[in-house]
Amino acid sequence: MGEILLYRRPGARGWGARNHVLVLPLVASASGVARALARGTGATWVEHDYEPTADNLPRNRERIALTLVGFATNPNVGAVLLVADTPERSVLLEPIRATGQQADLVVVTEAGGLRGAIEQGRARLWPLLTKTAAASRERTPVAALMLGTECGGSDALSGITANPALGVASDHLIDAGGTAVLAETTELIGAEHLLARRAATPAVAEDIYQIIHRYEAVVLAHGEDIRGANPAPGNIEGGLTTIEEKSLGGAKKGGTRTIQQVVEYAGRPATSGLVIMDSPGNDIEQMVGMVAAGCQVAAFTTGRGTPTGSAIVPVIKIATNSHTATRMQDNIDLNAGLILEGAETLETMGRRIYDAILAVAQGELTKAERLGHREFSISRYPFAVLDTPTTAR
Amino acid sequence: MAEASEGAIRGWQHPSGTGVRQHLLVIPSVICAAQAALTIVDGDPSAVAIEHQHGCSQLGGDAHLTEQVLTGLGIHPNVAGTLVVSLGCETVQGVALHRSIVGRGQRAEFVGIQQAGGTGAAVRAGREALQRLRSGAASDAQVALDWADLCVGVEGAWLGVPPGQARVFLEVIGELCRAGATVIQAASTAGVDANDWWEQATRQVPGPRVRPGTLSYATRPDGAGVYLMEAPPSRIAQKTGLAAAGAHVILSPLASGLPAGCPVAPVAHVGIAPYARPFAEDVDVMLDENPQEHAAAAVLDAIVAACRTATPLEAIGVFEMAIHRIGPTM
Repeated sequence: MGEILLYRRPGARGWGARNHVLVLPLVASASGVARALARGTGATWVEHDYEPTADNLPRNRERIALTLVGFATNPNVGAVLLVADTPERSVLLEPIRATGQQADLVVVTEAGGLRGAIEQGRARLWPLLTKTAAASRERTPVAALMLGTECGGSDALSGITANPALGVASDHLIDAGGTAVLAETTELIGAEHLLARRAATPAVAEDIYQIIHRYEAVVLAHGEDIRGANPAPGNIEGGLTTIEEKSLGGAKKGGTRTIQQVVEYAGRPATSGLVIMDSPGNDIEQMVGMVAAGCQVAAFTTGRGTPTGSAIVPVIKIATNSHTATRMQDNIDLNAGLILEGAETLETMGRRIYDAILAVAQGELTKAERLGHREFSISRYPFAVLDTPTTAR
Repeated sequence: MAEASEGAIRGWQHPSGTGVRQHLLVIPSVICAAQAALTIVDGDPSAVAIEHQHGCSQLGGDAHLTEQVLTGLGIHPNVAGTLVVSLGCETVQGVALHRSIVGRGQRAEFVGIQQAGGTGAAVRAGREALQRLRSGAASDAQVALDWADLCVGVEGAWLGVPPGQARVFLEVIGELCRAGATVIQAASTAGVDANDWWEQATRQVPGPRVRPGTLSYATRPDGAGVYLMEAPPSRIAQKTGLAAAGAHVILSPLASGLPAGCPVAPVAHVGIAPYARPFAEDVDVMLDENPQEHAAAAVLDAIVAACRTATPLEAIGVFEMAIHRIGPTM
C-alpha cells in the first residue's frame, strides 16, 4: 500500500483527495450571494460572519486572510470562485492564483447589485466546474497525505480507546513519509511537558511551552476560568473531570513520533512528520485551521457523538464507545469502543483507522460527507488582550 | 403615516407578541447543530433556519451574550414558533436555551442530536416538531397593527452620511415617535461619544419619549419610546442585535458594504447615493445626494411596505447572521 490515487495539483499545492469547486465569500455580507449562486450547481460553498470593520486589529485581518487563502488553495479544491463586496477586498485573488490555483472573482458592487452578482457568479462558475471535472486521479506515494487529527465531544474513554488508536494510525502515516497535525492548544494544557520531550529540537520544545502558556494567559487576562468553557458540559457528563485529564487523552491522537514543528493557526507545515498547530479547541475553528494548512483528510474522535464535517475535506468519525457508535450510527464511521470489549486492540484498531484514511483519501465517502455537513468558522486572533493589556475589553 | 394608522399593516397575534411575519424559526444552539437545522427546513418555505458559528468553547460573559441573542431571536414577535436544535455537549446548552424561550411565553420545541441518535433521527424529529409548531401557529389570530404596536430598529450607518441625508433619518425617527412607535437606534460607541451625539440628534424628537442612557446590545426595551442601543460596527451584528431586542422591522442605511437581510425581521434598505446606486434593485428606497422634501415620507412608506410584503432581499432569499462577540473562542 505504498501508493494511492489522488488528484495532482499544479505548483507546490501537492495532491488532492477530492476535486471540489469552492465558492468562497470573502466577507460575511457576501455569504448570501455565495449561497444563492452555488446552490444546485455542483459547487460547494461556506458561509461565515467575518466583517472587516474598523475595530478589526491588523493581526486579526492577517489571520483571517491566511485562513481564507489556505482554505481556497487546499489541494482538495480544484478551483475557487471568490465573492467580494468591493474591489479592495479582491486582493486575496493574487496570493491564491500565485499557488497555481484556478481562481475567479465576483465583486458585488461592480456586478450591478445582488441579482447581477448571482448571475455573473454563475457565468464564471461554469468554466471552473467544467475544467475541474476533467481532472482524474493518479498514483502517488502515501507520503503526499497530510492528516488532521481532532477530538470533539470527548468523554472518559477518549484517551483510552479512540485517541490512542488514532495515534497508532498517525504513526503509520508518518512512517510512510506523510504528515499528521495535532492541534487544539487549549486541550493540550497539562500535557505540554510530555509533548516537549518529543520535540525534534529545543526550539520546538520551547514553542510547545510557549503556545500553551499563551492560551492560559489569554483566559486569565479575560478574567475567566478555562474550566468555564472546557471541559464543556457534555465532556463532564461523559466522565471527564478536568482540562488536564482531557488533554492527556487528547494528546494521544498525535501518536508517538518526534514533533517536527509548531505552526500558527492555518499555517502550512514546512516539514513532513508530526506537527502541532496552535489552534483553539473549538471543533469547527480547529478543523478549518487544519484544512487551511493543507490537510486532505481528517480523523475526528468523539465520545458524545458529533456530526460536523467540512465542505472540502472528508472527516472520518471514530466513536470512543459502542453506545455512541450504535446510537449515532448515521454519523459514526468507525467504532473504537470495540477495544474496550476485547474485539480489537489499539494496534488492530489503529490499522483499521489507517486503512480507512487511505480508502477515504482515494474517494470513499465519509458519513459526514453523505449527510452534507460543511460547518465553517474562522478563529479570530485571540491574543489581542496580551498585546495591548490596557485596552482589553 | 396614514396607511399605518388606518391599520393597513397585517399582523398576527403570536404567543410571543404581535408580529408582521409568521416565521417558524429553527435555532441551532451551537454551530455543530447548524447543518441539521438547515436540513430540517430544506424545502419548507414557511420555516427559516439561522446559521451561526458559535455556542461552544466560549468564555463566561461571551457565552451568556450568545445565549441572550439566541433567546431574543427565539422569542421575536415575528416568530410564531421556535425549534431549538442542540448537539448535547455544547457550552450554550440547547436545553437551557429552549427552557428560556418557553419561559418567556413562546411556542417552542426541542430536538437534541445526541439524544435523538444522530443527524437523520434529529432531522426526522425536527420536521415533526415543526409540524406541531405549524398546527399551533394556524390558530394565531390575524390582527391589524398600528405604529404603536411596532418597534423599528435603525442601524447606525446614517451617522456618517452628509447632513442633508442624515436629516432625513432624524425626520423619520421623529415621525415614528410621534406616531407612537418604539424606535431602537443602534450605534457603535467605538471612537465617538454616542450619548452626546444622541442627545443632540434627538432634540428634534418629542422630549418625554426619548429614553435616557443606553440599552445594552440585544436587550429588550421596557416600554415604548426612543432608545439608543450599544452595538459593534458590524452592520450584520447590528441587525442581529436589533432583532434580538425585538425590532419588528429594521431600517438599514446602505452607505458601504452590501445589503444584508436578517432571519426574523424584514430589513428596509435605504440606498445612500452615490454609493448605493449599483444596488438600486436590491434596496427598498434610494436617497439622493440632495434629498427632496418627500424623502422622509418615502422612507416611512418603505418601512410600511417591508412590514406588509416580502422585501427584495427576502424575495431572493438572502439573509445573514452575525452575533456580537466580547471574548475569544477557546
